[in-house]
Amino acid sequence: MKNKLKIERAIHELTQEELANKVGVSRQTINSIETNRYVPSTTLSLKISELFDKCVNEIFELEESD
Amino acid sequence: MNKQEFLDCERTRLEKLKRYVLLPNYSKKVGLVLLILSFSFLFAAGYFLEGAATLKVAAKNIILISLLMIALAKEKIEDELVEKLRSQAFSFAFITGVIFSIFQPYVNYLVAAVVEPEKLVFEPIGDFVILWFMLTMYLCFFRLLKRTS
Repeated sequence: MKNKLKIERAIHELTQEELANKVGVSRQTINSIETNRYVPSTTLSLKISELFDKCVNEIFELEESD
Repeated sequence: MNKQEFLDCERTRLEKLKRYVLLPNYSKKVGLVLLILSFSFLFAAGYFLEGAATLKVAAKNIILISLLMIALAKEKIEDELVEKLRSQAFSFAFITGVIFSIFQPYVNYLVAAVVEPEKLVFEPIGDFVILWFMLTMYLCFFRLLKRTS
């Protein structure tokens, strides 16, 4: 699964730490999601999309291999 | 109570148990202090105390308890990634523990056959060694997964 988390974070001028604090996870979790090492849960995906005021599909996309 | 209600009740109880199974973050430090003290005692007892089997068994039990305290201590931020890494590390530790407990007696036997053939006895490994190995493996896997995630 690929995501546009880094782009969205840059648009909203948020650091990984700030985003992590807002959605209640660690900075390491945000970093792992951005580098595609970790696929977040539905709850976390919804929290992130709500924060950026976008649909989940606009931030997280399935790849052909998924 | 029908079967479905019974299953729901059991599930709720297990969910509650899962919530309370982790210890506060400071128990990591307490566990580490206990581990060092009990290891030091066991090491010293090996040299200076003849017998004292009960104390040695107690020290071994404290080693296991302290390792368990470290293993179950919450991280500073306990989120879903940590939960996933924790369950991965537990499963890796369980698998390596089972393999270790099956094959280690044979390895010991083969080594003894080469080194001390006159004292050749096949002995299964004890519960302390298996539990110590599994808990240590868990801590190693968890640290490794956390560093690489």
